Amino acid sequence: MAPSTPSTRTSAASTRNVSKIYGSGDSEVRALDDVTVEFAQGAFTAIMGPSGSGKSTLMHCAAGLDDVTSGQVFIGETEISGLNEKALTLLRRDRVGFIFQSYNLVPTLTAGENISLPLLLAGRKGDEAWIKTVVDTVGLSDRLKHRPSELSGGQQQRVAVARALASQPGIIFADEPTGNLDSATSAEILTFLKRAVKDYGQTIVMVTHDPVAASYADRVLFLADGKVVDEMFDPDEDQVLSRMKRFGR
Amino acid sequence: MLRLACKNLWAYKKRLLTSALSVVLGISFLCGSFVFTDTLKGLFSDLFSSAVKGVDVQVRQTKAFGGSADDGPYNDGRSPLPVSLLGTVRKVPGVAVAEPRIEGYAQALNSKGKLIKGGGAPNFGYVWIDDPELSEYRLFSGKVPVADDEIVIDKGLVKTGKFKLGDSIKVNTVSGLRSFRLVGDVTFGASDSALGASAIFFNQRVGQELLLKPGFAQSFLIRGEPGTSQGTLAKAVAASLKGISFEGLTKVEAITGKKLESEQLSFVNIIFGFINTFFTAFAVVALFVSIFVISNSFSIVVAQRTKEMAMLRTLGASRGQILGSTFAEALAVGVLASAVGVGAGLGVALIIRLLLETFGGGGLPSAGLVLKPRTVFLGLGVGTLVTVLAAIAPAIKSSRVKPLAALRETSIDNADSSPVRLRAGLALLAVSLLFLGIGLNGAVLGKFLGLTFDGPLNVGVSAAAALIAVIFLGPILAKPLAGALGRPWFGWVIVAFGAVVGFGSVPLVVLAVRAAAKQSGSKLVTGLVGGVLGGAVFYGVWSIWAARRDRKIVKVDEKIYANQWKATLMSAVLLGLSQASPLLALAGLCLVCGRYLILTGRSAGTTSGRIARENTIRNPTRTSATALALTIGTALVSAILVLSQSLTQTFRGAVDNAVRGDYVVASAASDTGFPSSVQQEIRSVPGVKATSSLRFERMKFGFPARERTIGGIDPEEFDKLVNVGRLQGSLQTLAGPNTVALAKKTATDQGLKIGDSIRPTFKNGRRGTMKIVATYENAEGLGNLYYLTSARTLNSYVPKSTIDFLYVSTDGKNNKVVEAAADKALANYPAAEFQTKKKYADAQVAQFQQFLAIVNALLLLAIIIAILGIANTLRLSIFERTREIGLLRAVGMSREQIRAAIRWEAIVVATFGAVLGVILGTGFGAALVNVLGNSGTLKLSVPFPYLIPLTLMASLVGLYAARKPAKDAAGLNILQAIATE
Repeated sequence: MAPSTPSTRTSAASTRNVSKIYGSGDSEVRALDDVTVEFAQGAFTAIMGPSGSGKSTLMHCAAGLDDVTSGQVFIGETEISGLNEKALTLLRRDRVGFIFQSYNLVPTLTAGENISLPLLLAGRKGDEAWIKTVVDTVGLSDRLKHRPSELSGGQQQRVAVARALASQPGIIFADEPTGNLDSATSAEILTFLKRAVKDYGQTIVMVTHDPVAASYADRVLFLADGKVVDEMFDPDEDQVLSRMKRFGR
Repeated sequence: MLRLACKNLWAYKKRLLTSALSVVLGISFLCGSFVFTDTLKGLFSDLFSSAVKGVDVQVRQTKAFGGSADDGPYNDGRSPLPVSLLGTVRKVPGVAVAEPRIEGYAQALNSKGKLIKGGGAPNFGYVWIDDPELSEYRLFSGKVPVADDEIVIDKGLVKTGKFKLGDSIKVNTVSGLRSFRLVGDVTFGASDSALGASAIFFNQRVGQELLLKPGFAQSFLIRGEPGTSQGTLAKAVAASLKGISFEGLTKVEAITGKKLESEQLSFVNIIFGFINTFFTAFAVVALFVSIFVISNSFSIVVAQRTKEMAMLRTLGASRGQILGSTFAEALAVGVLASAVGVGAGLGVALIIRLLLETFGGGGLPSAGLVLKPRTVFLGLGVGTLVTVLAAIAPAIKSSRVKPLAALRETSIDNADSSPVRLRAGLALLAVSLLFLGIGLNGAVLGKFLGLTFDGPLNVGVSAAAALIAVIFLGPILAKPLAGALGRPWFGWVIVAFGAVVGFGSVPLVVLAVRAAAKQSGSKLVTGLVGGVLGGAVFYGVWSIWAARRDRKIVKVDEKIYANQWKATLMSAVLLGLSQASPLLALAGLCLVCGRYLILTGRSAGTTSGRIARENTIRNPTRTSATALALTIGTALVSAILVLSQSLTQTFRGAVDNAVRGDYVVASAASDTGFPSSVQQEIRSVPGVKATSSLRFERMKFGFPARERTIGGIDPEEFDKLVNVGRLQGSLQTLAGPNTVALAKKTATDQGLKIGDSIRPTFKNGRRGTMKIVATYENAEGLGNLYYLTSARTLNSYVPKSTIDFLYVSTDGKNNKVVEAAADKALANYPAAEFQTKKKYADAQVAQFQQFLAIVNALLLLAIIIAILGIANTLRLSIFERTREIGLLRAVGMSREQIRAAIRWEAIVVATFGAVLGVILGTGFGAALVNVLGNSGTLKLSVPFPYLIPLTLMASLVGLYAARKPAKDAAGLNILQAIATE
């Protein structure tokens, strides 16, 4: 069942009848099966589902990191499913932000440089006031000259969050951003993400299997067997947990 | 554990393959040089022993001094025997046949009247010997030379001169030019010529006259009656000649054929011993560079496996087991690579031969390659040893890792500036400086301490110590030096260099078009089409295979290979072009290189440049080990450049300073000089004011008795034509009999002064007493000639009808007319070349410049191995950074930015290596020049116009090394890369 998404606001990203098939014949795996979703602007969306449900694939396809077998993918008004590699690179650089589970900072660059990396790659200065705001928000002002190896896991992930926010992208995709962190640090990161959405109108799509993390979101999408099977608005932890239990793994 | 080693080898086969390639290269060169010299030596030994195979006894004069290798090909310095003695010899019981052997210089002219040069091989003239046992040649067609105007030549010469029987051929000998009729040709065994040397056979009378002197022979060759032993026959012949000597000089001796053969073979051994040493030196350099590449590869592979090893340790593997597994891997790689190298050595031997045939030599007979067991064992042994040695340090290091420490993330190696390393490096540097000091001041120190120091040896030791010091200090130097080179300013240097290289294609295109205009159109088209087709097939197959392989091993995005056909087409067109017009292909290459240099240089100022710079200094040990492979090659090349430039400039300066006249007549034929009658011919040319001749002879005298060269001059006008420096006494007094002039320094060293006498011995055994009448100072200007006497005095000891140089001055009114007239006057003397002073200097310099060019070409091998090393390190580093690259791509780094970053990293590392090399090489080249030129014979001249491009050239090395790694990195699939552990 494909739930309708009755949003009056323009969507930051959307997929229309997207399928992703690996292999062929007997070994065919349908990772995504005719998925149509919209990620509303200024909303914090979590994607949940059991392992192999296709939640990561959906995020990768929506972000243009992976190509789809059929269907259309949009970032804002731009259809990206037909874009070439160069255009996709520019799109990622300017309009999409990423946060990964394992921090993924460049070890040779300082925290400050890591934060402005997308801007630097584009050869732009960026909005310095905004970057300062972001850095202050995540509380890294005194750590900008440090290399990632000199930072704790939580600090590294805060750098990653700041990096994603720095270029003010249309949408940020976060792939299990708290997967490697303890619960206190996780809460900290998730609060930052929530603040970015609430205070600055940032759009965030987060893949997670953690009901606690999902409870920070405005909306939770549930995936199973490559299909969107349910969604939940302003969820709390228990609701999400009980919904997840119904997948009965 | 053995199974683990095998599995590891398999898993890491591609990384080890590249590093093993450097061992393969080194070993193949080592074995190739052995195979080549063994093969050639076999051929020469066969030729030399077949020449004396049937000889039972040889009669000749004894020699006063000297080996047989240092007298040039035509004359071993013995006095000739009168042919009249043959009668006595032939009467000795047991002698079946006795024939005079007469040989000398004889060179044919082609139909255009130019000397036929066999690419450096000697040109022999012989008197025909009929007896088949006493000669190594056989008549192929025609008849033997009987009449005075008849000659027979070898079949090789028939081919190169395009002669046919009955042709009239002009032959140049030391007595001048003469015409003959070709009546027959000969073969040497199965080949057309005697290993490329030309042979012309005369009848007895003419042969004696032109090659030696009438009535004389170098030796008699004797064949005994069947059943006579060589020893008895030699004794009998010696007895019959007992008491016979000429003018109380050297004695007549009779030696057995066996002894003659062993003399000949030892001569071959000396020559090839030198050639072998020469090639082996390059192989050693190549292997030394290989050690760097191999050890670097192993240490990276080991570093990448640290976690795996730690895991094994936690499971209970002992340190020994871990060590053993790495050791077994190295052993396997070493044995395999060396075996392949030995095989490839056969190919290298063929290539060396091809090179020698193309650039001289020529006419080497095709014979089976000689692969001696020694070569195989040496190749396998050295290759395996080098690999194992190179792998052992990282293996020990890896086994020392504490299991739990290793399991934690350790992505940046900071083992750069340990104090031990610094101290060791500085200590070695001090040692190097000490030896340098001794080397440079050896003379002063030696006098002070009463010892003798070998200057070049000390400088060599110092250079070696400095190199090892740099190995220690490299990681410490890497951070500041590579860091400085990674900055934008150097990017602009590379942009400028790229522009020069790129625009260099313009003149090349012009040249190519000009050359193409001369070529036939059909050749161009067939070359182009054939090249394109062949290239397309080859490159297509290769790239499909490569793409399949790469997808499996590195996580490469499949899409990037969709464009493979474009690259295939371009490479094929380039290949086709290179067939049709090499110049145009080179122009294309320049354009491509220039473009990439500019692209990469410009990126130095951007974030990708910054990332690249950080990567070069993130692991200084690795960076310096990678760069040092290139350092060795560039150091040797720049040392040789300094040496050659200094030699060239010194020589030019000396010629400029010494030759006061306008022209020099020098010999065009090797080691033979030209007839002294040339002097009369030149004197009669209108406009010629003065001439003076110079000829050389070897003599032995002094304390300790040593061989020295003495020059015979025309005393009257010599110092007007040649600047001999400040004189004490006058050269004109040399006109008196048995007088000599000494270089001032020589006289001082020997404790001699004007009025004293010297008593030298000449090659023919004549002893002379010569009174010193003058000293002069500019011995260097005369080409290090420390003794001068008159031509007449010299001829009274060693009669000769040739001279080696003729100095000529003109009235300077109309030199064009003089040149034309001189050329006309010398029409009958093809061996005498009338040259301007400048042309003479050029010709002399060209010889050793050619030699040094060959040396530099051979050093290219070391640089190729360095390229492999850089490429391998980059590949491995990129493998390590897979996730990082995926991340950079995800946050918006374009493929071109990734490629530029990797190219920039390679260029910085390569230039770092080259800068070190050029500094080391120039320094020690200069020191060597200083030591060699202690007596002021060699002046230092640093060839900056070559050294700076050499340094910049390293960026091309980097560009090439980065080609594949950059492509792989840019092609990484982002998602898979990020998912990499």
